[in-house]
Amino acid sequence: MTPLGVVRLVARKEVRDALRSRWFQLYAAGFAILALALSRLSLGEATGGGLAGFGRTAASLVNLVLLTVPLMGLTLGAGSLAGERERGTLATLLAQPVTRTEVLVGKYLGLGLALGAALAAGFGLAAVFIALGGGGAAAGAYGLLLGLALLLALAMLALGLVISAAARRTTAATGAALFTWLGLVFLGDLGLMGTALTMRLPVATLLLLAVLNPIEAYRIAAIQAITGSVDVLGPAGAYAARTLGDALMPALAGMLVLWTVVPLSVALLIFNRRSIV
Amino acid sequence: MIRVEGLSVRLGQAQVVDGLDFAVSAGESLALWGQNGAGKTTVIRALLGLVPFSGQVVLAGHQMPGEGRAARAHVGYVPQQLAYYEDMSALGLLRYLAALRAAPHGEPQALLAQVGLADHSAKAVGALSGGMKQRLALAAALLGDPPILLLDEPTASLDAGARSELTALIAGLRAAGKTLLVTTHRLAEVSALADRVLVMEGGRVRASCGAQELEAVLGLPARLHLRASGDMNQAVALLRAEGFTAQVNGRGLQVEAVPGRRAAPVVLLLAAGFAVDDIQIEEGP
Amino acid sequence: MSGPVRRRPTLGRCLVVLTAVAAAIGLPPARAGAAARVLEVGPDSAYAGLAAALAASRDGDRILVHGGTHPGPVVVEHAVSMIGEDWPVIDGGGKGTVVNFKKAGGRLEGFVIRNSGNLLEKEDAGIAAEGQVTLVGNRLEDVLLGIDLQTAPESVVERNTVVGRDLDMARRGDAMRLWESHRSVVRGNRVRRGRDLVIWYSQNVTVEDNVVEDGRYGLHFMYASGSQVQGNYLRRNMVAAYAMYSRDLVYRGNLLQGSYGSSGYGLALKDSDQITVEGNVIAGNRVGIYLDNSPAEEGAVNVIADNVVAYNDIGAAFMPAVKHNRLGGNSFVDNFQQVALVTSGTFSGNDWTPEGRGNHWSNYVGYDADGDGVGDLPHVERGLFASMLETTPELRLFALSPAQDAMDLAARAFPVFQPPPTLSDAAPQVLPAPSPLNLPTPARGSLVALAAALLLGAGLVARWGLGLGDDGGRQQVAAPILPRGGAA
Repeated sequence: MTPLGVVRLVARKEVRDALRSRWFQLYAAGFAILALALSRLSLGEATGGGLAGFGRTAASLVNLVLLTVPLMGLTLGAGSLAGERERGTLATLLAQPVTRTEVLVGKYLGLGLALGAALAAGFGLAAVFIALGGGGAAAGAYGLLLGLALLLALAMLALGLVISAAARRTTAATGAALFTWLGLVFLGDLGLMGTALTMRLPVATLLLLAVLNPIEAYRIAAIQAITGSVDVLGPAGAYAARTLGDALMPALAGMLVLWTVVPLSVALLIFNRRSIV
Repeated sequence: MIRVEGLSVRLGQAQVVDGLDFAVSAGESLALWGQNGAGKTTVIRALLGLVPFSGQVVLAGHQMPGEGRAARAHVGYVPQQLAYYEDMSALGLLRYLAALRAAPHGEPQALLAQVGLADHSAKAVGALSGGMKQRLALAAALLGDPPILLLDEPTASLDAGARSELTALIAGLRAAGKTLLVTTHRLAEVSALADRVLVMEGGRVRASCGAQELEAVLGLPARLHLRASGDMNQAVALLRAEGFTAQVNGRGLQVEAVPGRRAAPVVLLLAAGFAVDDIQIEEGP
Repeated sequence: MSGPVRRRPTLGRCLVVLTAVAAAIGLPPARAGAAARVLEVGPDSAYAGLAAALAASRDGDRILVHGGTHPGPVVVEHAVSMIGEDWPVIDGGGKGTVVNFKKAGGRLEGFVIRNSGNLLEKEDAGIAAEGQVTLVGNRLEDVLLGIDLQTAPESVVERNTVVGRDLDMARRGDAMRLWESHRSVVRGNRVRRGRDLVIWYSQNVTVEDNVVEDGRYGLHFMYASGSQVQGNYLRRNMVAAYAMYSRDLVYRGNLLQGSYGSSGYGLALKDSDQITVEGNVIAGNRVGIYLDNSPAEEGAVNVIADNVVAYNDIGAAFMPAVKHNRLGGNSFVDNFQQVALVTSGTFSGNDWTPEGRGNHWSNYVGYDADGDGVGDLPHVERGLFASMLETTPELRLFALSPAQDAMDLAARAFPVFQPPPTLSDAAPQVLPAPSPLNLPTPARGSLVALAAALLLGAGLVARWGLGLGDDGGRQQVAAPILPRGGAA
């Protein structure tokens, strides 16, 4: 079987396993329900056609993505290799004529595909609701929002796979994933806020430090996608718009891609070297 | 088919395999025999590239671990602890593995039939009994018709009936010309499974011999406790005359048994007209 | 025809010069008393070109132009009506102002005006007038300034379309400028990609039902008063509506939407008094309502009532010490930040419950137990994050982040961290007011299509994954691998 064939097959297996796993079902259903509820809520406040809520629905969706997608990506990624190693099936798989790189890439793509399908379903249902509720949304911006969420999911999956490749046990991997999630979603920002308050960081430094966090890069890109500008982000947003201009979106997307490529390489490095049992 | 030189495996602080050399030629069956912890399973895992090792391993002409992908295409593996995707159906699992091994389409069903699982093909792997699982594992290892089979304790955790079924299957494989490397800790199975045996202890080879000679080579002491009727002193004299170490023990006899010839004292006594009512074997020094 | 382009003095000196010009053209017409005529221009008419007809015209004449392209610049020296049929084009040839009315009483209708000069300092315009003029149903394309009325009181500018040049904002000209043009009417025009629609020193101007998009200031009053601004759609400008040093303006039923950039105001008032802002929809701007020293005069009051202020980054932003505004019956819906103080302070000098009538706040956390539509607890605006923004605006970078939500949540849980409220509305409305405007529902076909594609994609992925291990319908018998004797 060709390397690509193996990747495809392992990916397919991973999609199957994800779709059949309780955790994934819980995540996917939770995401869809929350997305629906948020679009419903935003539309409920709508005051007149034409304005009805894309901006706000989209903002709610961004908030939802910020919280849930990193959680999903990190924990699914972290559980992937560690779980199979613990059950022993990883050895069975690697005893076949496949390379570890093929297996890891296949698992990564499969999980990405499954997560992407969950996001697409959530976004799709929310879009149906928005349209039925009389809300308007530029399909382009909405699609861009989903695309960015997918990039974030892929970055978080890659990071989860690093944890999974390095961890000894599933419980340790899950714990590390949760801690990483907490750090990226809350602690990093809070720390940066505190630093900005006490040290009066220059706006450029603040912006740079913030977007090093992939979740921040996603948030800023998403705001650009919804509102067409980063005005809402105040001086730092204005600085970003002025210095980067139209390159802002590619730069932020590039940051997310970087957060995908680097962790994935690290995961490969670890996975290729260590013992499977 | 299999060539191993200076194979060493460290897992953490422990030197699990220490400078192992052996070779298995095509069509030959080699058993690795030893107590649990002797390093047999680790050897198999190293051969598959599952654990990092130093030394030379060549499988079907492919150097491990660099050419692992090509090498593993020639190797079927039955792990000691069967770990398959339990939520797949037996057939589904075989189909998945068959695709990975680029095995001919239809082979999974044919193999299921051959290991006697045709009626259970739709059953989830997790719902199969231990013996069925073991047969399924054998079928999985045979996907793509690999010339080399690595069987790690294939009969462990099976009851006597299932064990003999599986032993028969493996005997068939030997007859079909497969190259086998089998680990076991059951002395009695060695001769049924292998032509040759390596005795492993603490990660090293303690002895190497033909499968039939193992008990003799090991020289394992054992005592027979016989309950017979007749003049026990006469029986002792008869046995001693034939070279056995024997003595009267209460109402019965105690005879030091010779590995490979345990039944001989009994045959001798029966031929001399003694009635042997019961026999008990006590192994160990 | 290439008449000399009249040099305009700088804006600062305009007033003096223009007063003199106005006096000059206010002289009685040379041929007063002669009967009005109709001069026809066209291939089969008396005049082959517009220039010839204009040269032959007298005050009160009607020039009927049948199609054709006529070279500009055109200087209209008499009070004539020029009526275009089949869209005659006047092409300025890229120099100066395309049509220049020198005398009050002119009329231009049904023309395409294009290709003005490109010099801002010369104020090259599509149409300029130095006295009363009536401009109806013209299309101005590729012009630097659009319509430039200098001391043209009682002018009528109706149903014209102005599309500015695609230039940097700094190099664009005003799409429309009214200078000392009292009692003029600007109605039903469509303006796109200009700089400003600006009204200087003009009283009692009516601005109705215009659409102004993609410019700098959608509608800008400077030192103006008594104007009625109604039914205009001002969208995607840097500022939708800005009044400076003005008074007695009434904004009613306008849509102020999508203002962006460093100002990005929906409605902004600076040093302006007695302004009424009622029943407007102010949505999707950076700042919905921006007040700077307004009202400025002792005893003056601004009334901001019954507006929908929705989906802005900041609903209402007040500069320090802004007082005496009465805000009641407005709906503040889902603004990222409902109200903000620039730097610090409170909103307390303003009345958020005028005559007992409060506003709707989408973030209201109280309840209405007696069901009278008014919340039983006052609505207060406060938040740890918002209060931190006052001193460290850079932190706005973290707007919409989970960390911000977490901080505000923590502050609510531990009141010791809770900053004092900046605003209190004693009678918050539980429900938002219905939209004062009947805006069309946006097209949603593409969204539905996207939704369908997404759901289909998710379904296909699921089917593909779950189909693993299926035979796919193919059956094939393989050669046995085990020898016959080997099978159990």
